[in-house]
Amino acid sequence: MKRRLSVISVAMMLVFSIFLTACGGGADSAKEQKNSVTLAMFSKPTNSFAYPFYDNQYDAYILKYLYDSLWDFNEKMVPVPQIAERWEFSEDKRSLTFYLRKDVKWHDGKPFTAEDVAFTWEVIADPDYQGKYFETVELIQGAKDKKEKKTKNIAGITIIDPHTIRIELEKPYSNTLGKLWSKPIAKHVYEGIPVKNMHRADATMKKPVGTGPFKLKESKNNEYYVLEKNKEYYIKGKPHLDQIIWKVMNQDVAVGALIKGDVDGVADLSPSHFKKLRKSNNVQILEKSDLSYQYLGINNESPKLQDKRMRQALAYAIDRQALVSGLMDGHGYVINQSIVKESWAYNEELEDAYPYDVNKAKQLLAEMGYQDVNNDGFVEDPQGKPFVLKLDYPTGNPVRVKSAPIIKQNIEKAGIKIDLKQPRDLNAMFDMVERGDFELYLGGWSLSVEPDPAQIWRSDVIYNYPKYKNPKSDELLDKAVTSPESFDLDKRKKIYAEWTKLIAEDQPIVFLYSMNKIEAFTKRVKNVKQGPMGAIESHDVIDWTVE
Amino acid sequence: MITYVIRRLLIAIPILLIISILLFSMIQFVPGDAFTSQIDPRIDPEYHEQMRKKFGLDKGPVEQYFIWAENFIKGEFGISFVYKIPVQDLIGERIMNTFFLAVTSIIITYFLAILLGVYSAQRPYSKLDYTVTGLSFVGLSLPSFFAGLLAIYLFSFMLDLFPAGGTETAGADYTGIRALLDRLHHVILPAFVLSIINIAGYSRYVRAQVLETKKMDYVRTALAKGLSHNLVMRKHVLRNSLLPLITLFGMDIGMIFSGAIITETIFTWPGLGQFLFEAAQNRDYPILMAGTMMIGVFTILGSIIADILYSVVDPRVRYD
Repeated sequence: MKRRLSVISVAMMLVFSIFLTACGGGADSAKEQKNSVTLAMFSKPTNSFAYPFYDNQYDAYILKYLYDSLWDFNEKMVPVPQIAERWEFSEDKRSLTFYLRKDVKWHDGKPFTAEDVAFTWEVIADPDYQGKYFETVELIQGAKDKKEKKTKNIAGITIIDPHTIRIELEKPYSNTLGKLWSKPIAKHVYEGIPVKNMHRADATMKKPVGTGPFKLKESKNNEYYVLEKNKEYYIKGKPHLDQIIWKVMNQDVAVGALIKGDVDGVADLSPSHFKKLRKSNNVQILEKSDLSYQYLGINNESPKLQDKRMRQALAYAIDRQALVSGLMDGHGYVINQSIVKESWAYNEELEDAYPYDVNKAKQLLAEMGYQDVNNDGFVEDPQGKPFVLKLDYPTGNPVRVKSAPIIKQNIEKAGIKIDLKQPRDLNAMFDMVERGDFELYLGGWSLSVEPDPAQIWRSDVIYNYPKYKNPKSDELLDKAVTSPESFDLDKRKKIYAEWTKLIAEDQPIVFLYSMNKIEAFTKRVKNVKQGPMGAIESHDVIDWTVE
Repeated sequence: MITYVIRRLLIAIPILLIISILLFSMIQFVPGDAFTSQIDPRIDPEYHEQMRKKFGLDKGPVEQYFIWAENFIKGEFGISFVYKIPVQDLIGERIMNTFFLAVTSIIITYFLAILLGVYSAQRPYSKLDYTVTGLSFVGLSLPSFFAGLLAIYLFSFMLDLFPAGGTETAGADYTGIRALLDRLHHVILPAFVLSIINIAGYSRYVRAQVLETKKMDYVRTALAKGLSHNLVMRKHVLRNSLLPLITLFGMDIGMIFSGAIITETIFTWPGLGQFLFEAAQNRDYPILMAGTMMIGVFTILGSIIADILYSVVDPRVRYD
């Protein structure tokens, strides 16, 4: 028996060693290819490789390299030309003409023309369209009629010549370029496919045809995606890289693989990884403020929280700078408005609003008649009844989860008792919030490059979770995008300054912090720089080189 | 025997029915749906309403159940809310991955568990036995996420023996035997991590059983008859000691298809476990229902197979 077992073990060992040698150790042979970069994402794409149908950040990483945009946004988030050479508004701002580049080709060699642009807008306005971006064409005259099946085509689109296209706008919006759909798909590829099946056609899921700097060469679902250089790219001599491999990886494993050099770049790292990566001399770290912020949501309709002094007291009570320094090692900043630092519309005047000031918070409470009647350390309401605020928060985001008990402590120091609930799963919590069944909660918003906050802040929108209603705010929000002066960026900025000030005064929510976007690359990748969405999700990938 | 199998299969039908009703009601009680968390201020909320309508989420729970059940019997598992394509298209390749990982893991488990168990039992209370016992306790108490990360750190990052994740080398385009070896190379580490706990547990069973069986009268008789030690060990001891493992094997078959959430996630192994976990987070009910029902089916099949195996291994067990 014993001998037999040892014979088997020896045999097993042999088998092991055979394929170990066959595979040449653990080294990934693909990355041996010189001009290739391997990037890691933490979750898998859903394979919606056409912008009109995508729905997920991980698809966006790949899409950014496969497709171009008519215009893109620079680091101040101002629109700049990409495959539209230039554009002009008419005198009355009611129509907008795009002049397209003439040297752009789809990956299959066919030329890119105004037909493709018109086709894409038509698809998105189609009643059978399965994606979620109708809002981005709604501002074109006649798009709504098409959606409601009153017409077959969008009336407001005119193709002037193969490289010139004009649209008539429903209203003159100064943020038209921030709203309008800018990412064309190929007409000749999608033409024969019924609109209701486009989202799951092979052209979307398996063989996307874009105009971008890279083509999808191979996809192994949920595991990796191999992109190869588009040799016909319209910017001559670019991209420099021959190949980009996107791998799906667990976050902790990806960080290890980066240090080892198995992957060359990782997007969206947390501050805890920063410490670990800084020690490695193989890695370069890039950091910029992110297009997102975290906030303490307040139910403005709750009788307990209707008085703005109560909401201001909450803002003064929370030591937000301590959250930034303690929980994210300073990789972030305290924010007092719903526009991030990077944006041209950021209001610098609010930088120091609501400093941490417990006494100020107590003073505001006293003004409202909240006093600690029974000496238990917490205030009672003006009627002398116990006063407790319920605080909910979702699982997930580790920094936010850690911040919850600290925020409770902070507020309780100012004398308001907080009933901190168990964290709920994200869907469950926002289900409650949408129903208005909350007092306080922790949440976050990711923003787009277009600063118009109307979709979260107008009185009548569903995402106005705090139920903040102020006609003055609505008026300013409208003025910022529809008034004639708003077409001047500086004047539009002034309108937003006025609005952000109003919001800061009313404190419908307490703005907490904005965490930085941290990305890391191996040092062999050169010329990496961060755009508004970071370095990885950037057209500047065409400049990357490797040693 | 055949009537027995048929009877067992018939009993399985009401069990599956109950499972499906339980699952469906549990899903109904969970707050939020697939579209609650897709909070995106750039999107018209009306779109989510349209989607709810399109996927039938606006209907009553009972009606939803019957629609689901009817389609399920017809072999249509519905359309995923997140991927927006039919569930069977999504699950197919996942099953193959999970199957490959689980089978490899089971082979490693049984091979090492029997080897270690028998070795320890041969020389109970020796140094080797104590070492194996000690290691088993370590193995049993290692949480799988830790074991996974540790294994990657040691065998992939430090020793560079195995890749850190995935089922094959990205962009290598291997074919034939090379592709197979590449896949084996990728499966070893996750399969081993998945096996650790079971090796530790099963080797204890084997050791105890072998020790127990060695004391049996028929073993003494066999030895007294003059049979060689090896023959007695193989024919009398080992065969009888492995009986309890068969029960475990039956349960393992259910496990094959349920996948291993943590190991699959850490090793980017696109299998069912990871997939179902995500579906639960996203409230992607068609996937969740189809996947869980499948686990139900295979768990029941597994127990039937285990019972049949009993009769094969142990002549005393008869089903009539």
